Amino acid sequence: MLFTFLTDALLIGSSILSDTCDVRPLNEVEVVQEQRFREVLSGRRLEGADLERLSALSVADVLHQFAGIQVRDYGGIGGIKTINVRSMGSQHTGICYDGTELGNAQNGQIDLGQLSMDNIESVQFCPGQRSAIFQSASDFAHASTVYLRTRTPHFALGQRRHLRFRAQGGSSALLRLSALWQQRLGSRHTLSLHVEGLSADGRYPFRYRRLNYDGSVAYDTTATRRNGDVQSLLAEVNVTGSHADAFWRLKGYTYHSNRGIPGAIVNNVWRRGERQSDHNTFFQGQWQRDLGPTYSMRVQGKLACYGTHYVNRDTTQYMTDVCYTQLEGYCSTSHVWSPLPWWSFSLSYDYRYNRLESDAPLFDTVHRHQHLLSAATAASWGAFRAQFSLLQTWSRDHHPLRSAPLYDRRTPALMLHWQALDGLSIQAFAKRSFRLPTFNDLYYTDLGNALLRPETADQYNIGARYAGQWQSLGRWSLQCDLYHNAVRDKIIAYPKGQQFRWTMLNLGRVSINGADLQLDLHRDLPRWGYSLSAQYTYQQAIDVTSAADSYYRDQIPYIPHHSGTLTVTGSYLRRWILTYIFTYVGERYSQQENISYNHLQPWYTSDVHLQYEQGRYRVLAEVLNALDQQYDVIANYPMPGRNFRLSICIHI
Amino acid sequence: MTRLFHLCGLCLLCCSLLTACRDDEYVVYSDQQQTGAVSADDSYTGLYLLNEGNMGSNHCTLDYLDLTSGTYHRNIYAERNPSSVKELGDVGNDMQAYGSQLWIVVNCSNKVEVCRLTDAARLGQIDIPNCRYVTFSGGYAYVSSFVGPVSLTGHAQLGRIYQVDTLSLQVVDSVTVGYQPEEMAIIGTQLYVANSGGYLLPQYSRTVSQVDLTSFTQVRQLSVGTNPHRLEVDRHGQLWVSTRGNYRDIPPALFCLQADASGIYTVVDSLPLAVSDMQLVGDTLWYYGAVWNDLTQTSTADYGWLDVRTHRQIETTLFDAAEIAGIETPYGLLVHPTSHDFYLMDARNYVSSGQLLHFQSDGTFDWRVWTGDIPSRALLVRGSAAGAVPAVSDTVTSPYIAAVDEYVPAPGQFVNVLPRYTQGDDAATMAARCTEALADNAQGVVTLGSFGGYITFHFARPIRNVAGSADFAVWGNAMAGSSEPGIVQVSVDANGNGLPDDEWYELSGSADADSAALMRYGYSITYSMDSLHDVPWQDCLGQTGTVPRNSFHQQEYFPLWLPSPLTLSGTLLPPNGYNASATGQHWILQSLRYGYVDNLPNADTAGSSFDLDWAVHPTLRTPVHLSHADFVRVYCAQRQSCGWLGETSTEISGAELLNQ
Repeated sequence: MLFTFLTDALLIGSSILSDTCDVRPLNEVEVVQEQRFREVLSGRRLEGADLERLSALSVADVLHQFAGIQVRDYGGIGGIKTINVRSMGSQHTGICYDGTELGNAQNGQIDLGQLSMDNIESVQFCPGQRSAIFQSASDFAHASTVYLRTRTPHFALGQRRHLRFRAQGGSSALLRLSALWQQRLGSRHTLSLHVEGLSADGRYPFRYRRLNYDGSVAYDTTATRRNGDVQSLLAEVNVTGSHADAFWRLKGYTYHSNRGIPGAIVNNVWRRGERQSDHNTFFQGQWQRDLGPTYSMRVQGKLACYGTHYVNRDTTQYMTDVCYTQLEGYCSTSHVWSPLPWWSFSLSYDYRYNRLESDAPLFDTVHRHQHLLSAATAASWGAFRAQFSLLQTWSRDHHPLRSAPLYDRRTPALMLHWQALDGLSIQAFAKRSFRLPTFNDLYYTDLGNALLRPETADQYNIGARYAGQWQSLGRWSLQCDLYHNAVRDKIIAYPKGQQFRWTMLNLGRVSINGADLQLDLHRDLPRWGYSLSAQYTYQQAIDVTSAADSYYRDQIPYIPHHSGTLTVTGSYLRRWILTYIFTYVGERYSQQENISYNHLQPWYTSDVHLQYEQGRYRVLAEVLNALDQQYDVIANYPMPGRNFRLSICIHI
Repeated sequence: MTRLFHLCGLCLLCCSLLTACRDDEYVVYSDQQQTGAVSADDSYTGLYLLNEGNMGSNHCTLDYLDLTSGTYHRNIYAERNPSSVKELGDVGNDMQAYGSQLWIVVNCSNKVEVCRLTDAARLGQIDIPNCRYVTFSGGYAYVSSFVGPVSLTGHAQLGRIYQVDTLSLQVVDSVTVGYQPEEMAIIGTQLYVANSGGYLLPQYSRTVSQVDLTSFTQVRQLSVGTNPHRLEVDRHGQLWVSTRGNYRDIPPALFCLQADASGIYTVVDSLPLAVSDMQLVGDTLWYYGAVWNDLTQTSTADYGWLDVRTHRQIETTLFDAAEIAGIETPYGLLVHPTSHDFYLMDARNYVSSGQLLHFQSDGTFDWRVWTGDIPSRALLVRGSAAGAVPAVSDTVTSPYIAAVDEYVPAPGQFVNVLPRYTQGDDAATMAARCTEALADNAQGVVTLGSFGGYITFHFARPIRNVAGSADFAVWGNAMAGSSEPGIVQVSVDANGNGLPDDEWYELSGSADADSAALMRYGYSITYSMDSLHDVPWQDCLGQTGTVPRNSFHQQEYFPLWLPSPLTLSGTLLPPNGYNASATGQHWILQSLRYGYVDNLPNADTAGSSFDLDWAVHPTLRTPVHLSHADFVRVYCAQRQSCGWLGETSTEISGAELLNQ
């Protein structure tokens, strides 16, 4: 519990620091609720100290830690970062921020690089779906979901206020300043305010080197990555209230950034001039209440405005200056009824409205109305738990010129869990889900195709988890999942026959077989402690669209067969903490054909963090990519070599 | 604690096992496919094919079809030019041949790459932003570019035509034309360029700009249809312009322009044809067109012939082959100008390998091969040997001598001293001593003795025959009035055994022209050892003489590790030494103009440099074209003795690759 202790101590107050006893955090009300309607499958959660020790800058850095997730990183602090879960494509993954989904109806991509880890308390990854019964209909919709939860204020007895300041500096002229203010309002309400500013010039050296087969150097070029600067400002306020049988939370979030888009490094082009600024603001709230011992209900709502301003003043390219504005309205109501202690039933309804407008030429404002209705039932018989859910989706678009499609789909999911032995559990799920074509897929100038069908994913997963104790080594757990996924009607860009003119088509089938392995080990001693966490992913994701294709049964782009991470932490006197993170991604191909022209070498980085904590202060020094590997995650987008960060954190 | 260490050890072991997986990045070499077909006639020896590659992928590649062997070499640029950083570049848009040069317009790399037509070796590049097409006239290349001055109305940018000197590869001038200029055609002194206006979406441009090449100004803009793209001039002086329409309500079309009485071209005809590319063969205009229908979301392809005299389509069954119907994304057309067999390119899904299909002149499908991504432009070439050149391992390693292979000096006063012979040395150890003295710019000196004595060496990589410039230099110890000329021979490791046992060619020097009557080709001489005495010789003409000893050097003058008699041969230069003093001895050894080792001072780089273009057969003296050479031999080409100076012997102090 050492690591839990470390972070919790920060929240609870320094007075407890001298106490060596095991301190558990106070469970928030939401968690208590979840306990009642226990999740059938646990998913994987990183929180507290486990999360803290990664000292990640953005959410993308954390998601490397989950088996089955591939992070697409275009490099640097400002580079776009998206995830691909179990090779189904990034648009099949939902990202939930404090219970409400983050949306991007325009292109379906959430840039995880824009989500700061500074105020995140827990990251949960649920392949398939989160199998809590008491959830909104949207929670049943995706092929997998990542849940992010912001810090919930915890106050020690008599404590009314907690302040935290953090300053971080590092390579690429990184400067990040953040402040967190948590205030108790009366006995039942809390207020927290988090403000963060980040600035970086995004410059770093990179190197491209090729050898001849006789070992002599063909070329060896080092240059500086440019136009990767980013300035961002984010503010978030949360107000929570809890009563005996009710809980509510209001959130306001605003994020503003201005960044360069560093672009691809190709022959004779070493810098580019595209820029993008984002202005995202949303408000969301939720209220839930237990009405008697067998019935609970929750209401959620969200209003969001996402603005993107894209400017290309590079005279060597098509110069553009375009604004896109997305509006989103969302409301949801969920009801759960447990007629018997071992059986419960839920019904949820969500309505979501999206609108995209732009000043781009030939662009017409589009609207989307989406209704989701879910019904789910969960039961437990002794060592067995099961959940079945059915989601009905209606979606209708309105476009001034084109006849917009109506989507009407029902998708089921079944999740099973069996506690076979003490410590050993077996779990399985089967799920169908789909992703709607995005506004870009359907209506983008000269590219969109309004005749698209949704892209469907079927998933079958079976896994086992064993948790035990080795007397000498400590607590350990091992989880293994085997899965098969099939993606049909994949939405892909397809040429129209004239130069760089594309359309979108439902053309593509992918068959995915994979295995995820997760090993965790913890040991705490009075003076020493260590933990080890290793995850490994095997994926065979092959294109089975047509035997006539030159890439038939080839591994799809950017999916490695082997990937994994290893995180080892050692602590001394609970003051010094040394963490080593090793990330490995095996060979991949940048395009559909698995030929040498498209081959990308494996890459692996070693990150080392050293943390020292004394009273209210904590100092953290990091060396990232310590072995200075020069690699591309995405072809022609070089990643930073060895870089450094230093941060100081003060609690008051 | 120990367990903790064990655990850490285990982790590190795991890491090191994994870390074994990343290799160095190597230059990607070409792969070969056999088409099984060899062109019947024919003056064309090869075909270059340019693959566009997708934006941002840096996958613009060059393929070569060897028409003499039928072998298709996919992706040859990188192996021919391994030191070119990030290879050929991003999005190849056009490729043309001009003289001995191959011009490749690499759109998103903002450059025009100029290669040698024979083997695609890089000659240079011209930086032109957002360049699109190239055409030539009078020693100049004209390159259309989307990048011009930004107009006052919004951010629309006019385009430019750049004028480039094809010798110096420098931009000479540029002229502003219309919006987003694409293909060009030249009629006499007038250049016509299609202004597409592709960035003006949704308006597009409707004009063709006329540029007068003598004043290099835009004379006027001719009005045609929406979104002009391709231009072609037939032999009747008609200008054919294809327009792409707006992909919505305005369909694509083909316009014919003729000059009116005042010479101004105006539209005389418009045909409702979608033309993605066209080629004129006699009076037949071959075309193909791929049309996208926004309503049905399908594309249709059309292939046809047009008679440029009647402006009518010609009925033909030439394009009825099932393989043509099976082309997914038609993207290029090339017709053999005389035999009329033709090639079609299929870009398939843009993001994977395309195909090149060959059809016989009656439309029968012949063969197909996989190309790079988006094959778009093909070019038949003559006299090219791109397929035959080995994968040259061009490096930035030492340009100096890598090793000496053979050292066979003729007798001389420095022999057995430069380099030093010691008891037990043999040919191999003596060659190694020469390597020590000369390799990697060690700047030692090696003597070749009297006539015929030679040294053979090689560089770390083959010597490329860089067109229009010297390829390597050999250094000696010549001073003004002290020239001891040696002749250079080169050979190609044709049998690939790594030994200098192949045919030798001589690099013809100035004396071949200046002293033609005095040259003795195919001369040979035999030296015999006469221990510690003057070394006697007898030549192929029956003459005899000696290499005389002198008081300065007391060692044996005959190379002690070589058998006696020793016969050496080569071209004998006329004597260049004379005594300028009437009374005593003031020997002057005159230099020749160029083309010899140890002839001009090392400071005169040009005078010490050699060009593979000078290669001739050693006795027949007929020119030989070499694309590269693997070995160099230098032999002493004088057989004279100059009083106290002694015999004239070439000395060599190193060699260096130039312009490689």
